[in-house]
Amino acid sequence: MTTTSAPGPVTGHAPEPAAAAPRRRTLRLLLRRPSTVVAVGFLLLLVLLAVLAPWISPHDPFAQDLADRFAPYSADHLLGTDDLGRDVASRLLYAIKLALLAPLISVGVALALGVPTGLWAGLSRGVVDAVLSRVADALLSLPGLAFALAIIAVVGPGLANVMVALGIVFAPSLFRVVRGAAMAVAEEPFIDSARSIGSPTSRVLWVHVLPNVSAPLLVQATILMGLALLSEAGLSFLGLGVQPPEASWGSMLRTAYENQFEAPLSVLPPGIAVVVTVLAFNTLGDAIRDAMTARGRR
Amino acid sequence: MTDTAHLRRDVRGATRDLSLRNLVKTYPLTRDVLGRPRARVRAVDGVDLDVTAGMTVGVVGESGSGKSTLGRLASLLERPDSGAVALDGHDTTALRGRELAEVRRSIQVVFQDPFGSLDPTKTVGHAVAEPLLVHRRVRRPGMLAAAEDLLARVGLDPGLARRYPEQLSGGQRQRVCIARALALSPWLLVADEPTSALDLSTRSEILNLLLTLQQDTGLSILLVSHDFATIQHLAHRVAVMYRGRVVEEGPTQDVVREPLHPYTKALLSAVPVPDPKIQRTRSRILLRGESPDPTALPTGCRFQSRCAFAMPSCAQTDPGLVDAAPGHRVACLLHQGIGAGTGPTTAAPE
Repeated sequence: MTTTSAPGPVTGHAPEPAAAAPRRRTLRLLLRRPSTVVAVGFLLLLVLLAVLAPWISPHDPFAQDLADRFAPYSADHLLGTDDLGRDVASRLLYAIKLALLAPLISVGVALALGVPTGLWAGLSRGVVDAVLSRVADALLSLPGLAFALAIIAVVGPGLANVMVALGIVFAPSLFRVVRGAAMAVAEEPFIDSARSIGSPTSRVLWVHVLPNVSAPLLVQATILMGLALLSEAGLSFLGLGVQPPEASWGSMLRTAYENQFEAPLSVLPPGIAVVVTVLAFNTLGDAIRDAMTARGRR
Repeated sequence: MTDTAHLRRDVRGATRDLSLRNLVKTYPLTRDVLGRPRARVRAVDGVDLDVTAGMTVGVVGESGSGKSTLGRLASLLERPDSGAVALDGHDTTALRGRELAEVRRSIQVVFQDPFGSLDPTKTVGHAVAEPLLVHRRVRRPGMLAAAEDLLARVGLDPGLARRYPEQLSGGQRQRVCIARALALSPWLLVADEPTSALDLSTRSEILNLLLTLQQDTGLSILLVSHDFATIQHLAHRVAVMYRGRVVEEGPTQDVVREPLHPYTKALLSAVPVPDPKIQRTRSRILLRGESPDPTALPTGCRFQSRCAFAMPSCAQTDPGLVDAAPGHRVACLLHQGIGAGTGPTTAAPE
């Protein structure tokens, strides 16, 4: 489930019969920096909490107690209660699953759309590249959130729709990254070499081009995870994502925002959760980039 | 073990030949606003060349002579603008997809740059056995054994199969490239400057490896090089290229002993002689004059501006290749209709 370790689904693509020496070195470089260890540790902790939520959450996240609305932080309600008297800490814990799944699925959709098209455009150039690039440019010229809103307006609100919409919004930026890197790789003699042994184009793309563009791809994907979480929170805040009574950090923020005069502190738990998690994703993205370039420089 | 017996199969006896006929390949140099080429370089401009089984043909020339393009055309990595690349009499220029992959099996390439021609994300074993995997001669579990077998053939430690290219030296990498090229038992190896990125001692090792492989298996080699010494070492026949044309072609011994084209003479005079006494007294032919603009070639002979023997007729007539001696062709007006041996036999004055 986790995408936080360096040899993610992209580089782990072709199982090699040999010891993965360079890959292990990247991982070592990655974990040399304390900030990365903290970020990775935090994300792993989130995964753990998401899995354990049903057992460790102090209250039922959906149990309402209208007599005890906006309860302050206390030993019983660690982070207080919301406008319907539901335990905020429990809702926060239950929402972790969404906070991790939403970026995973939307970035997954973006990868599925952006990577094959990017590889194809980068390697074949010509008309294919021209058409795909213009489409990507057109999509990039639209403001992301507004574009996602337009897609949701067509297909209707709901978490699944929001994730797919975000995936479509993110796809052009991944396409750009993959296309640019693939173009550089396509110039390498080993691509000619792969062709000269009679490899079909699809094999050249997946076996030789993709692993060599995985560094920038991984960086971009990790950073998009943070952006996806942020956008999901934003769309849920607007009431387009998660539908009540399901909890997401974005919808919790909305509730807290609507009631900020009664309970000013209630924006803090979901707000901090979003900020710290996005920060963790971005730190990880930066670290992967640094580790990859450090390895390339040797 | 695995079915690697075919790797050692002798390819001698198969009567195969590759003939390049009137090949032309141009590259766009500048483009107008609409992306249409405005000026084109004629990298290869009407070349005929034959490679027969068990023979090494050298292609020699300065940079920009089109020799590498010729190598890419012969190895089917590029399609010619016109002309034919015929394998056993069948033109391959129109082939695509599966048919092309099938033909490519019999023509393999070794590239100049041993650092760039191996995928850094793949092990050496994968690189070497990949051709077998692509053509379904081995399955994944058998790859390592097949790779070790091939590595041993090119004189490398089979244990290197588990390493990554970045852990190998240049000479080792070039051996890996050769092993990879040999995996499918091709009958022709196109070697584009296989040694120019290597240092001198490694260079001779690689050349001797090619020589041994040819003697053992009857492999044919199309050797592209800027270095006449390399060609002399390996090639049975040599084609000298200048500005996209073959200007002289013949058995290596004949061409070296009695070069006919002034350009060949100049190239040969640049090859050092191992004997220092002779080397000191040898006169080198220095080419003077401008090399012609590749986008606007002059009428007449392409070499006229740098030729010490240029005549007025050289500016009008573009000489074609004619037989000066049996199997020895030259494209120079000095030898047209006059016959062999009567051309300029003295070296050009300094």
